[in-house]
Amino acid sequence: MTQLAQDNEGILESQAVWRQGEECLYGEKGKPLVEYRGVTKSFGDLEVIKGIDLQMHAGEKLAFIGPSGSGKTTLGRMLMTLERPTSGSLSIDGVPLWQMQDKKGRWKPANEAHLRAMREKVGMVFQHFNLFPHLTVERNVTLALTSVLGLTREDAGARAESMLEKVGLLDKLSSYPSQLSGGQKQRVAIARALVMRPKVVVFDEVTSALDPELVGEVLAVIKEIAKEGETAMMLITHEMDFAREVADRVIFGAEGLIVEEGTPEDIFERPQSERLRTFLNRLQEVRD
Amino acid sequence: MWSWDYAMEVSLVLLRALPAALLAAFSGFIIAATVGLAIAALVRSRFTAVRRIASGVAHFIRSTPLLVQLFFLYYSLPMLVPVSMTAFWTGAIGLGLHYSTYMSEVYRSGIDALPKGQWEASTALNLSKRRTWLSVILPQAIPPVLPIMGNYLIVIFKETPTLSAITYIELLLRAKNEASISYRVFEPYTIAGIIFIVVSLIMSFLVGRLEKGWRRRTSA
Repeated sequence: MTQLAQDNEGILESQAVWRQGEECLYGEKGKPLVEYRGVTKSFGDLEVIKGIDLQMHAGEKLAFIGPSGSGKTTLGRMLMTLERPTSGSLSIDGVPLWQMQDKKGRWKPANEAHLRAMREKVGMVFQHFNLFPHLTVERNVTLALTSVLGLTREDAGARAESMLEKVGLLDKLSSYPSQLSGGQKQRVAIARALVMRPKVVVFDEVTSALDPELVGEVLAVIKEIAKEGETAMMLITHEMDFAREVADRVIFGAEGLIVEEGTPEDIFERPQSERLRTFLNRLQEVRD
Repeated sequence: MWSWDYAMEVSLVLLRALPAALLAAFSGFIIAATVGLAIAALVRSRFTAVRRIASGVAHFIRSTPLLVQLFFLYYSLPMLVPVSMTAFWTGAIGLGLHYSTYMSEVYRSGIDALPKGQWEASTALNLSKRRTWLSVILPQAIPPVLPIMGNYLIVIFKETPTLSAITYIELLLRAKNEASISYRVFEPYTIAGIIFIVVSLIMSFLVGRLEKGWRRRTSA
């Protein structure tokens, strides 16, 4: 065997050992896309997240359910870098989001440049849409394409158009947000987030601010996008049927802790904890 | 006591000083609008030191009289650094710096009126801070406060007589010179006052037009 081949063998072997190590650490699915480790968050004296460990894999659709005030939204906002965790670590593709190493390898709080680099992988759709009211639908969707990704106006326009077609709003290109219904606004917001092709998108109670008759169109668009499967989704929602239909895994949280997690069937058909049973029963009562 | 003939004569003389007053007012306004915007952005910096210094400087400028600042710029500053500015530039910069601290508050009110969601959406789209300010925040924050900025233009114009103290020949100083030549004190100052009223009225009419135009554009 030549020296080169031996070296190669050695590299492959150590790779294999390393992979096994990963598998022990992370299970058969491999390295998670998003990982929360011991994450807590306090606002003043109020501890809203009391220690969360969670892994999310590429393309996975994760639904967060639970009573309001359970910290669901805060979890999503930390991933979008809108809130800084009080302690613990949050990483994307194995890279800590809120910490970075200086030249000497010491850990320090992430600076804006680090956050900007990490944010490329994350997108978010907000409860109140947060469209830019002074810009047309098209410019809402292309603004970040041209100014962040550096696409030309033409390329950005083409990408925006195909995205807006997906959400069924191609005819609204030159409308302003004030001319749209709530459901249409939210579909634009979804297009605006997804056109950046993030690896994970946080959907923060995206139907909560909508009139009941407009909820369906927004959920339909999300289901359609979920089917394509490439983007991981963190669905913070009160829509149980939607969570059941779209999610690969459902997380039930209450008072800043994860109480129960499992497949939609596990959670909705075979709830284990008393808290989850009470929560689901109460929802059922509201419906009946 | 009042001579119409002399009043007509002195009106023409004073009107010739009006461009100088307007020029100082507009220059001061442009400086105030620019520096005010910088202050408004700096007091929102993510660096605590920058925030503290910016608001400290703004507070200092606002709390000292314009006249003192003008005297300092015109008489004291040239002793410290080897620059000497004309009365016009001293006046424009003095007015500009002084009113920039008020203008920054005007911008601040426009910026604070924007929902937090606009900043958060900008973060979520990974826009740079510069891009966020230029494409998202300012285009929404400035139009509503344009009328207030217009009112500051009028205030600055009415403040131009202060520049007479540093020998800038504007309306008041021209009126004073006329009075000292003719020994008539009634007409020059009265006419100067009337010119101020007329110009201010014209300006506030234009500001009103601007406001209406903006309302129409946003309600459309």
